This record gives sequence, structure tokens and C-alpha cells, in this order.
Amino acid sequence: MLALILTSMNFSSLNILMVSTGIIITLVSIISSRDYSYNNTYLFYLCNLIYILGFTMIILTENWIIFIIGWELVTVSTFLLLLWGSNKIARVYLIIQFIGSNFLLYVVLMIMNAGYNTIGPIDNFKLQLLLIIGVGVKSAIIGLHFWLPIVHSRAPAPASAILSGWVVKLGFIVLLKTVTTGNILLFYAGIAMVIYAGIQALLATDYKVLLAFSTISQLGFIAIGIGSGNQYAYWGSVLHIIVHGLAKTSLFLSSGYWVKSMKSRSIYQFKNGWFKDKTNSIITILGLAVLAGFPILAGYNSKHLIKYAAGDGWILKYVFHGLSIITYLYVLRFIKWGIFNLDKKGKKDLDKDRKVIGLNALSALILPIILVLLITLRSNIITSIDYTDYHLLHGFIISLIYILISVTVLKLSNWIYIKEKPVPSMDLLLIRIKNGYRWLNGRPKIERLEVDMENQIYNIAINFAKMVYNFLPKTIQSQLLFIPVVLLLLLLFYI
Amino acid sequence: MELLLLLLIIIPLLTAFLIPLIDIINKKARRILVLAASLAEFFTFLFLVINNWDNIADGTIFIIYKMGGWLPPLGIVLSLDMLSFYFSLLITISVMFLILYSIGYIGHHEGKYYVLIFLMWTAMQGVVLTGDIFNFYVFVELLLITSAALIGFRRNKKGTIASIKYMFYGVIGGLFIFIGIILLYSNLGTLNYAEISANFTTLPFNTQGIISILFLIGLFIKLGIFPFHFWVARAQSTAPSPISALLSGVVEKVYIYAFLRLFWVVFDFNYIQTTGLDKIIIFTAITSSIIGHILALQESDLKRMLAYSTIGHLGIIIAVLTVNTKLAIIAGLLHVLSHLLMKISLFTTAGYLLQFVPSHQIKDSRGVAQQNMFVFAGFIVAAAGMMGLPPMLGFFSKLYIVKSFLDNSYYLSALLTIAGSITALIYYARYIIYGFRKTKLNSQQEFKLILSVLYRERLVTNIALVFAVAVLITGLIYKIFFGPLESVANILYNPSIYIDFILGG
Repeated sequence: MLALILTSMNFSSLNILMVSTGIIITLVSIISSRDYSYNNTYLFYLCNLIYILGFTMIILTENWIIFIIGWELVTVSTFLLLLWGSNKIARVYLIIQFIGSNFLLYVVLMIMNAGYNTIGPIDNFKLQLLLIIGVGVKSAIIGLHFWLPIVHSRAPAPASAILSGWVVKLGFIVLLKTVTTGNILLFYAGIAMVIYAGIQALLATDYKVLLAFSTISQLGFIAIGIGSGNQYAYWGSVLHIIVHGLAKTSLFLSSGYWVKSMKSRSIYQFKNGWFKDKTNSIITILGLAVLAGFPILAGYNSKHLIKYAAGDGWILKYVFHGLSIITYLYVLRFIKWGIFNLDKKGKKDLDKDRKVIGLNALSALILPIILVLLITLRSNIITSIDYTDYHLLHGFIISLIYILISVTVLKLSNWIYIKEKPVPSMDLLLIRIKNGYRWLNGRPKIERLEVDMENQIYNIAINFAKMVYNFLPKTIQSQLLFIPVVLLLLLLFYI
Repeated sequence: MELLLLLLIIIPLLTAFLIPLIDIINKKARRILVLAASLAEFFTFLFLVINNWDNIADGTIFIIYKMGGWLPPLGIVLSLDMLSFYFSLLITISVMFLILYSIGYIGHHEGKYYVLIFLMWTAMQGVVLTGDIFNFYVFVELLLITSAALIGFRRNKKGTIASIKYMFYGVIGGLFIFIGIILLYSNLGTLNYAEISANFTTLPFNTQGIISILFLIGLFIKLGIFPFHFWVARAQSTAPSPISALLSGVVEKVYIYAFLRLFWVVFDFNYIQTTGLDKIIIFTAITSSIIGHILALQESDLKRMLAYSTIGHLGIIIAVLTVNTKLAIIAGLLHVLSHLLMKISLFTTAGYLLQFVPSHQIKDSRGVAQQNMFVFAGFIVAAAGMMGLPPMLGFFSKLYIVKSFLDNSYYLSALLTIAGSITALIYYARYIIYGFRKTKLNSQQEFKLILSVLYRERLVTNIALVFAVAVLITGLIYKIFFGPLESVANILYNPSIYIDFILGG
């Protein structure tokens, strides 16, 4: 088993880069988790270790079966990590992911059946599509993303940093290896993800929900890069996987400290963020700037590659500019509400209960950002293409135009001050589906469920099973009757 | 050397008859006898393995014992090839551990229990080792009678009903097998496996069909495949836990052995394939599997749930074996091992945990994890294997089962296998969640530890854990089973080896 794992590994520079990024993200979140008083710390570390083992297997291996084992290990270990938060969310996560990974098992075996014995380029469009759906449950391809905002926003900060920073990328890393020549449906799914999740992030009132939707939106960029099949866009996706992983980890970890110091998760309640916690503010702004793709930061490089290489034709060019503006919109909106929602009068009072970020937090938050900056300096090496000139001046001008447009739009809409929404949950999702159905029938809306979603689905399953049980005969006479009937049928048909 | 085969059957048989005699002399001596006999059986098998290690390693082991020195077509033979060896190994080791478990679980004051369980052991070894079809029938009936008596061992109303129902089904299944044997004997004039196998294709086509169908239905009734599954839940839930583990884990595997031996080696599997009967078998087995999982989902009784899950897994094993490619047979045999380990582990841990709760209902198992965290962890490991999570052996067997379904374009069967494991997640998670629920201190009174039943608590928990650890360890080294299982598959593919060996040797 061990020999099989080791022999099937491919230590290419890309793989090693991905693994080391993943390990850094995990370590950073472990450091940050020391600020949360977890019990059973050693079990927590053990789960992290299993998780590292799992994603290392996924990234390095060339064997489909080892890949599946790694995938399941990641599912199990992240489920265990979520148990340190809420049991219910962990359960929902496990069931959804278990269904997804079982479907992936089916798909992978179909792929192996078609003759692709090692993880490598797949030419068959249908198989590509099946694989995309298979990894889509974990990687939140649009349509299968419904669980992500729920789980990522409700999980404890270190767990959501791992989930949002790296676990969702694992599917795309596999797609990088298999969908090398592009897949048009993945491309359009990517565009839809950026737009849909971007708008959801723009309308979010909860910081962690905003971050969760922004994850889906940024995954959309990766999907565009892989789906386009263009070489430069492909390398842009590689860069974006790393950069977004690091930046999102930092942001999710800092969200934990924001929630701690603000005692609220609503972005409208983040008053005087700048005065309260300058370090955290700077880190958050830097992280968001990476997401938005501001020049000098590595996010700009990746988005530049994806933006200018992926789209052919002038319509797509404008669409891509629009996609970049969406990111700027929600980033700027948060910076306005979350950090610069200042109240000059209260500045002096704040000095007393100012939250000082500890050493753990500082190292956990700053390390990814520094790495992102370092990657910017050496980004031409990572992309392994001779593309030293990113047109920095052009980037600045374009970014300024984006910012101008975004600020104008936000200003006109009063920085989108909307009524606070509840944190997404499975119940709300079900209420929405039910209300849609009721609207079609012209019936009044319902506000809340009598039984929560998990129990409802569980009850449906149990009731179905009971129906089957009741359908089968109960008395021994009728049960025994099956024997002669089956015998007669078999003899009639086969003799 | 050949005598060892006879010893494998004789030792438990003799012990079964010695136990009542020893009781007359000294009741305390019985416990030593039980322990010594089960160890003697184990060491006999070990001796067999050590003596023939080279042959076992390259898969060419063939041992034959001619009863009374009569040559094969006339006399009864005991024979051991790779197929028998695999199942005999599983039976020997698991039954030995289950007898040790019983010593802790049932205690020493029940002499009849040990008589019956040793007779069961005799019957199982006999079914696996015999080379004579009537002898096979005798051992199957012995297995039926002893296990029926053990199902009703608690002597309450529930147990009696379950036992009678089990008897009904078992006798009818045996009847079909018996009619099949009569047809075989009247047509071929022999009862020897090898000779039947050599001459089976000379029979008229319809006779072949009738015999195959009779044996098929007989075995399906004994296995509890879907339309004949009604005895399973009752029988396996009312029996004492070690007997449930034995029924679900080992006895069912003996019938799988019979299925393999009869349909691949003795009868011509080509007949089944040419008539398209294999499609029907796969369809029935997979339907049975998914219905078993669905029925397990609605069950509120833990042991009944485990019993229904057995139906689900047996269906998969039968279906994948019937696919009849090399990988499929290896996958099926691997799942035989993994299901044996997981089911025994689940029943033994459940048997221990159920001592602390007022009833077998899942609702009542609230907070049972507090009683013994290790045993509960063992339950979780085995349940994870059932769901097919790595690195348990259950994952790898599920993987290869799905792969062999897909390789032969049984897409729906593959999907249903996966659907079954998702259903398994739901019903095992339900018990595990209840187990972890915190109980308030004042409801602690609900827990009643039936001290008189658990004789040696340490022994019970340790053996339950041995199986759970085995599920985990075998998963990590699953590759080593592939070589031996491939030679088992070779035996099934080339019945002529078996025929030449028995008739020529």
C-alpha cells in the first residue's frame, strides 16, 4: 500500500508547489487555532495531519485509486475538523460530501474503464464533464455550490480557512491535470459562478457569508482559466489557485478576529474598524486587494493572465472587465462598511477596549500575505512562461478605472445598505425552494419550517423505507408463497 | 498429513459429544475443554498451513483424504484446494474468536450452548471440506438444526418464533437442494463432486437447467436473498450476539462457498451464462441488496438493522461473483473477508454496548459511548468500513466491486452499490449520533448493567476490538490478498484441475 502510494507519486515542480502551499495554509490555520480554546488539542492536530496526508495524496499521485483514497481522507478529516464547531453543520457537510465522493468514485472508475489508467489529460468531453460534476461537490461548481456558503460561514474560523483556502481547490488541481485542452461548459460555468456569487457577495450583510461567496466567485476565475484551454489562462489559473488560497486563508482567519473584537458578524456593526485594530485592518485590506487583483499584488498577475488570454472576441473582453469590476464592487463595499465606517467621537473611548492581536494571530495573518507578495516578485517563475512584463502602468490605469466605476456605482446606491439577512442555512434553502413551489401554486409564503431540513429529508427517507417495508408481505404464509412462485417463473422461462 | 482434514471436522464434533460427559464428572472442567478444543482446532489448522506453506503461497495446495480408504467415486472424500482453504481459514479463525467471545459473553454455565456451537463449527468445516454432494447436504442440515437451536437459545417467545421461521425456510431450502441431489444421482449415478463435474455437460439441457435452478433457489433461501429474506432479521436479531455474528458473518459465507463450489466447479457455469440466467441472478441479488439497505434504514432496532445490512452486502457479493470475470471474483472474495470482519465486529461491539441499555431500540442507546469509548470507536471503525471509507478494507472491496461492475457495463448495479453505501452512512450515523448524545445524570438510572450475563467483560471488549482493528489493518495491507485470491479464482475457472486431482489422485 505504502509502496503503491510512493511509486505512483509524481514530484513535478507544480505538484510540489501545490503541496507546500497546502501545508502552509494548514500550518497557518493550526497556529491561529491556538487562539481558540479547543479541547482535545492532540486529536485536532491528528485530524490536521490526516488532512495533510489526504491532500498530498490527491495532488502528488498519478494513480486514480490513490486519488480517490486521498479524496475520502480529506472528506473524513475535514468533517472531523468541523466537529470542533457545530455538530449539525459537520453532519450536513459529511452527508453532502460523502454523496459527492461516491459519485466521484463512480466517475473515476468509468474513466479508468475508458482506458485512462493514470491521472492525465482526458480527451473525452463526456468524461470531462462527469469528472467536473464529480469534483464539483467539493469544489463548488455552480449548481453544486449550495452547501458552501452554509458550511463555510458557520464553521469555526480555522476550519473555514482550510476549507475555503485549500479544500475547494483540490478539485481544480485535478481538473488542471485532466482538462488540459479546455472545456467550454466549464468556461461558461466559471463566468456564471463569478457573476452569481459576486452579486451574492455584494448583497451579503454577514462578513463570513461575503467571504464564502467570494470564494465561489474567485473559483469561477479558476474555472474560466481551465475551461478556456488557453495556455496563458491555464497558468493564470495555477497562479490564482495558490494566490487565492493564501489570501482567503488570511481573510478567513482575520474574520475570526474581527468577529471576536466586534462581537458581531454583520458588516454594518463593524464600526471604527480602523481605530480598533489597525493591524487586522491592513491585513484585511491587503487580502481583499489580492482578491480584487490590484497591481503589484500577485492576484493582479493571475487575473491579468486569465482575463486577457481566456477571452476571444470583443464581447468576452468586456465581459471579463465586468467580472473584474464585480470583485472590486464587493471588496470596496466591505472596506467602506467594515473598516472605514468611522465614528470620530468614539475614537477616544475605543482606546480602552482595543483588541491587541496576539503573536499567533499576527504570524497566522501576515505569513500568507507576505508569501503572496513574494510570489508577485517571482511570478514569472511560477507560471514558467516568459512573461516578465505584466504592463504595470496599464494595470494601474485599468485598476483605477475599475475603482472609479465601482465607487461611482456604490456611491449612487448608497454603498448598498440593505436590511440584514439571516446567515444562510439548509433550512433557509429549503424554505426558499418551498416558497418557490408555493408561489407557482399561488399559495402564501411560509416563514419557517416546522421540522428542520435535516430531519425533514431524513423523515422522507425513513418514510420511503417504511413504505417499502409495509409493501412487503407480513404473514409467513404469504412470505413463503414467494418460493413456489419464483421456482415456477424460473422453470417456465429457462427450461 | 491428510488426517488433518479429518481432524478439522472431528475435533469440534468430538468436543460437542464430550461436553455433556464432562459435565457429569466436573462442570468446571468443561471450561478447560472448550478452550482447549477451540485452540486445538486452531493449531491443527496452523499445522496444516505450516506444513503446506509452499503450496499455499503459490496457490497449488491440494490435499485429499479418502474416508475409510475407499477410492473417490465410491467413497466419501474430504478435499482441500485453495477455495476450501480460504473459507476454512476464515471459519477457523473467526469461530475460534467467537467461542472465546462467548466464554465472556454467555459464561460457562450453559453447556448446551457450547455443544451446539461446536456442532455448528463441525458442520461449517464439513461443508467447506467435503468432496461429496450428499455429505454436503448432511452438513448443511446439521448447520441448519444447530443454528436454529442457537437462535432460540434464550427460550423466550420471540426467539422461538424466529427459530421456527428459520427452520421453515432452512428446511425448504434444504429440500430443494435434496431434490437437486436426487436428480443428479438418478441421472449420473454418482455423488462425488469431481465425477458430477466431469459428466454434468452430458446431461440433457433441461435437466441441467432444473438442477441448477433447484440448487440456486435452495442456496438463495439459505442466504436470504430478496424474495426469501424474511427470516434474516428475526433470526439474527433474537439470537445472542455471538450467534448473530456467527450467522451473519460466517454461516452466510459458508453458503457463498457452496454457491461458488457448486456453480463454478461442480456444475457448468457456462450453462448459466448461455441461458442468460446470470443476468437474472445479478438482477435479483442487486435488488436484494438495495432492498436490504432500505429495510435497514427504516429499522429502529439495532440488531435488526445490522441483519438487514447483511442482506444488502450479501446481495452485492452474489452479484459481483456472478459477473464472472477474474477481477469480479477477486472483488467478491475480498468483500467476503471484509464483510466477515466488519459484521462480526459490529455484532460483537453491539452485543457489548447493548448490555448497558434497556432495549435494542436505537433511541434507547443515548449516551452509550460514555460506557466504553474504545468499543464504541470499534463500532465506528467497522461502520465506516461498511460505508466504504478508506483506509478500511470495506472501501477497497467496494472499489473493486464497483470497478468490476463498470468493466462489464453493469452501470446500474454499480450505481446501486454506491447508493447502498450512502444509505449505510445514514443508518449507521443515526446510531453513532445517539451514542454520542450526552445523558443527564439523573437519567443514569436507566442504564442497567446485566452483570450476570457478561462473565468476563475484558475478554468481550478485547475480542470485539480485535475484529475492529483487523478491519483497519487489513485495509492497509489489502494488496496482499490479491495473490491468494487470484489462485482461488483460477480454481473456479479451471474445474478440470479439481477433477483431475480427485479422480486421478
